[in-house]
Amino acid sequence: MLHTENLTKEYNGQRALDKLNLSVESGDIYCLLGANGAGKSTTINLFLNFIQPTEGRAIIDMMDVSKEPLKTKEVIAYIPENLNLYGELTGLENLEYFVGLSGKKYAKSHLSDYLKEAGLQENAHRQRVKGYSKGMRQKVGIAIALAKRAKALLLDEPTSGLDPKASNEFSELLVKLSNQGVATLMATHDLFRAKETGTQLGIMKSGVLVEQLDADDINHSDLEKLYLAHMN
Amino acid sequence: MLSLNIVTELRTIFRNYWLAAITILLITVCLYAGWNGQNHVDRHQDSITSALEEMQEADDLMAAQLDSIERGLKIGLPTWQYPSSPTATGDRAPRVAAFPPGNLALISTGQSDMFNHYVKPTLTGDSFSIGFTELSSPVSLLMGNFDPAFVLVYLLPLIIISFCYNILSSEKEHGSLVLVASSPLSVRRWLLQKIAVRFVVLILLLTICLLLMLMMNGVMINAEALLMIIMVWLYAAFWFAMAYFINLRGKSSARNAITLLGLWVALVLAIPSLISQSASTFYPVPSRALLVNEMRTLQAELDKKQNEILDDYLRNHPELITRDADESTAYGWWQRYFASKELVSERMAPLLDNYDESLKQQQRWVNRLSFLSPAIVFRSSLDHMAQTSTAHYDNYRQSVLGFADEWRNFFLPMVFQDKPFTKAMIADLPAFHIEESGLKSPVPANATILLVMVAGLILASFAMSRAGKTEHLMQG
Repeated sequence: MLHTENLTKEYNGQRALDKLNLSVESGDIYCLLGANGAGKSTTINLFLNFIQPTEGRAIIDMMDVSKEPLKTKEVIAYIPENLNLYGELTGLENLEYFVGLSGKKYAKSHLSDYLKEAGLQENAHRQRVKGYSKGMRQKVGIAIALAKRAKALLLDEPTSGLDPKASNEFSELLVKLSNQGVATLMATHDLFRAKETGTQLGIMKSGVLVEQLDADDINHSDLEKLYLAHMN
Repeated sequence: MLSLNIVTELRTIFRNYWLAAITILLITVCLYAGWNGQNHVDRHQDSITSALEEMQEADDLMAAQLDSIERGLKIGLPTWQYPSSPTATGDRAPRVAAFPPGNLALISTGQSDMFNHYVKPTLTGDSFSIGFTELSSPVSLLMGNFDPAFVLVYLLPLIIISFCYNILSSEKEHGSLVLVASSPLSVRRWLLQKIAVRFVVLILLLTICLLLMLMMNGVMINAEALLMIIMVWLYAAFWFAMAYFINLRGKSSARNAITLLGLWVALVLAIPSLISQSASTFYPVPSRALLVNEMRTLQAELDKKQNEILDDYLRNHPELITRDADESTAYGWWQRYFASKELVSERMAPLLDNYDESLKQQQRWVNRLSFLSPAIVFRSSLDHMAQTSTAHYDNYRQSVLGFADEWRNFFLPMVFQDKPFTKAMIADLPAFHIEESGLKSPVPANATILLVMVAGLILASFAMSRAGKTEHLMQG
């Protein structure tokens, strides 16, 4: 579902991403690990067409992102580190708006069901988002992905700043989506959550994917050792 | 996407109290400016009404005096002031050549605070020394009047800038733009719809405020009033299009605000001022004092040879020679005076033409460069519709000069043929009216210029931000 072919990005001659090749199939949760500036967010931004690759291709559902920027966005949902919705609108209205921007229209009750499915308590649906916690806003993001019927999910450190309970709830939602066949690419610093949730793990350093492994093939402790070995 | 954008944008505007604030602001400034403009118009109209009443009273008195004279009675005046004397009536019973305010005069004070609202050309007066200008408060001339034109030309762009300077940059800074940009849509189209919603909201509010202001001041809502409102829409559209263009550059809110305010200073203040300054530098208008001085010197010169002048004059105007005139009537003081007056006018004509031509060249220069500033284009349309433009006052001046000739020509045969002015002639006295056939409306051309500017800005915005390319918006 999500593929890269020698994906490279340079900023003023500085290589931020170097010939990245990775694949995330339907149902996979691929966790990209790495320090700040390792190229995780750059990879996600290239899939979103927010930036143009210097070389190589990012492919979503067999479509080249650079050539089909709008069509590829029809099948993806994106949740950034800080999901900033419109504070003056309610959770329900935000969901209606962002799903509507993708060309989908649902009845209010249906949208409410998506919010419930994403774990947002019912009494918050009609409250203005400016009073929401970060965890609540991330749940609206998941509801957007659900309602968009996204085939792929791009997450840029979505659990950063969430308390352990909220983080756990978020991970459960990702697993649920994965079981529905959604391909997820998640950039994260949270090794524990990556091991718990991910099906595949990748470690990046200075724009290079230095390690790729199945999450089942490694335990928490070894993952931490491997990560630190690459970082040092 | 359009209906969704409309609903969401309206919800946001309503809920952040911006709409309430802008409504109160617009109603306050529009009504106050309208009240101020109407006060000026009322003073204008009152001065004309009182001059006309005064003229009517003088006419009634003159009729009564002529009646007495014609019945052989004496009136309590020295004989040279008798209204039966054409020179006395031509000078002492002038008509009021008034320039009444138009239907939309309250919109723009324009040139109306620089000129008299009426003049009274007399038989012996010089056409070119008729005082068209009046003394105005220098403070008011410097700052301009707080009339609707001031609100629309100067304040409206600031309101639009405050409403839209961060329409995209705030989304970027707040973080919601990434969510929008991850949707399958063109960001420039999405932004165009957002800004169009704000444009329609502001235009609706402004139109209601303007109509309310016009109706409260008793202005007739006719085609011209509606055209004025359409011009306001176009001017507002220019500033919205400018905000759209600036936002699509992808810079921060602070930079957008500074850029837009800089453009406001350049387009609304600096360029009009520079064009006006350059007009008077390239096409200087001769001093009026110099003209009057020139005329007096000429008059003094001609006074010395009045007999020859009169001979020439009568050769050119044989219709004024009384068939049975003897030398004493044909060569009276007044005849010599009018004969020399005509010569003065003839000699002064090139100087006056030069004066008029300089004014026209200045106007042509301003018109030619008006495309550089939407404020000039818009302002000239408002002044035209308010009938307070330079062209309107120039046209009025020309009409008065024509009327002054007509007035003189009415009395001259009586002066030369030594005939009295009678009561029956009161009804035949020439009446003043303004010739408006020479006035060409700049509004269609100005509307086209504004439309081209709006279209140009939108096209430039589209060219700058190609569909699907959001890199420059997402950076920084």
